[in-house]
Amino acid sequence: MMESTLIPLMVVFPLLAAVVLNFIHGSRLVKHLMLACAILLIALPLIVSYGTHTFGGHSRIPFGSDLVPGIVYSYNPHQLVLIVALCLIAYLASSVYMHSSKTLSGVYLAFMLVGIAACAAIILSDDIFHMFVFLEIAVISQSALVIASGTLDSIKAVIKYLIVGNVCANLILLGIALLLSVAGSLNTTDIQNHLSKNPQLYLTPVVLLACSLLLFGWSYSAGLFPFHNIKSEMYAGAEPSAAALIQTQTKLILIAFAIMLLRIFGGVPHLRPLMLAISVGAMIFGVVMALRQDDYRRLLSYHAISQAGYVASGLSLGTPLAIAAGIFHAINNILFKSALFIGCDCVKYRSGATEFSKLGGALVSIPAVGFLVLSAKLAISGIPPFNGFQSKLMLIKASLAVGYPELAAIMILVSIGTFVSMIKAFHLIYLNHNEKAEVRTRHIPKTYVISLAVLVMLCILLGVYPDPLLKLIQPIADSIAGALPGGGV
Amino acid sequence: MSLFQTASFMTAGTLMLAGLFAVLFIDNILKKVLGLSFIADGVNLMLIATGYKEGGIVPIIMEGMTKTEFAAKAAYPLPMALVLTSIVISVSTIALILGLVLKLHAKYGTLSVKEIWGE
Repeated sequence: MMESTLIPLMVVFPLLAAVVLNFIHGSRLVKHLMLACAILLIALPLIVSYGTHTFGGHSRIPFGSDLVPGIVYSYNPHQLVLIVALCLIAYLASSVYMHSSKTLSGVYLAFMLVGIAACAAIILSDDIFHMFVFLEIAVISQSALVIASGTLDSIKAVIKYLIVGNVCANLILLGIALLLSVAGSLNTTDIQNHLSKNPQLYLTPVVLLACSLLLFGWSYSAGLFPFHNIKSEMYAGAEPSAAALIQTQTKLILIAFAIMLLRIFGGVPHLRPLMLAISVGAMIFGVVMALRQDDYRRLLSYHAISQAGYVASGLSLGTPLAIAAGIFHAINNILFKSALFIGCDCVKYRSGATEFSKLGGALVSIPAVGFLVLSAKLAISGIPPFNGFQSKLMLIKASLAVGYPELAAIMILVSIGTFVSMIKAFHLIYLNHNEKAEVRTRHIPKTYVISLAVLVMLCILLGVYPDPLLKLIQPIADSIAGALPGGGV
Repeated sequence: MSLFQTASFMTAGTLMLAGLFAVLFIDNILKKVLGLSFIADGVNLMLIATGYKEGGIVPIIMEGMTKTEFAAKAAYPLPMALVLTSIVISVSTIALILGLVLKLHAKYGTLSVKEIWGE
């Protein structure tokens, strides 16, 4: 692939911007700087050309080993889509924060930017240790965003997340150490080549242990079963607009980590069934827990877990159609779930609460938000013509094609559960006349409506015309599935 | 595998198990954090032991050393670089946890998980 020197800018620029913003507090300069950075961040992936970048200018060592001695970033069409989606949500989430918050904190926005940089590095990196380092940076930035909400529950959620996260991070590192001892490299492509040239290694205890440890790490970093409760507490502890960004980052980390797992351990027997079991667990537990919630933020948090289950199950199936469907659903989910979280932020801004017992009759005061949120709810439930319908249909088709009709049935049932809980929430917040409903203000910033309108329009656009996006995703899906034993089937 | 390497792996395993026990079964948050530190140290030791070479030298080309001699004797430097990064990451996350634990202690006046989380 061609050398593209601008690729690291997608990581370096947000980090530099974060350093600058970190020193500015409470002034309008914060707002202008952040908006300029966010727009540049969306433009950057579109300017940078596809290719690879090797840090330090080291080329491959050809003598016998053919290894890369430095960290490598590779940039392909699917990464463009993922990074643009991340930067778009960051732009909308930061705009909502800046227009709804009384005091502007440069530190808060700096952590948003650090999160973007970390996530971009994870998506671009072809080096497992580099990925691990930025995974930890993402954990710290997400924790900071949650702590910023200032409640005791958020601090408790972060402590739990960090303690479990620290254990999982060490397990990931152990897995990386084991892989290093087997392949002598940290480069994903090199490890993949080494293992595929020596397929007997897939069954050695060291590789199997490394695979189990990294699978465990994947399930933690993607907030899947059995870590769904910890992750959903994080979403619920954050301000809803920040939760939109955190869940976006989590979905992208899920994809990047799963691609790495499939590339390195594709030949390990039972890897994909195990991944599938974790995904189905997340889908079911997420929706069941969501149905039981009496707080809107918590309900959305559990749905984020359930939707992550859909994405992970697509990637776990391992066929070109399933992988493309999984990535497509992740992008769709980023759009409609962010719309729902921003809608929740608007409800919180209006009422000062997110418990259903304190909400009601919001459609009269914020009708535009109500209708846009209803569209996002229909999108997440998989109703046509929204994007959720397209990706869920693709996932169902993919599971039927692989010969898992049970999985297709579970996906349909979970979708019905999602629809029920979403409509229940809409009724309780927007339609129900609750005498105990609290109304703090009747005027909401226009940013809410604009952000929601942008996201809903994208949901409709991708629902009606998904082909251009699928064309960008399909090459990576074909490449991963092609490298799996039996072409992923 | 040399005796030093075997001993290092066993020590690393013991550290990790002790740390895991503290995280899972001890009620005091501070001791849980200490457990995390034990696990991190165990993993770091494991990494260092992976790169150990019997009779090896530091991976720096000294004066009068030929390339063949260097390749034969030098220890693998990558695990050392990884451990350095891992220590930094571990210190920052543990510092963040300790800061939050201070906040909880100021609010509840205890470090017991059962009392704070009301289990």
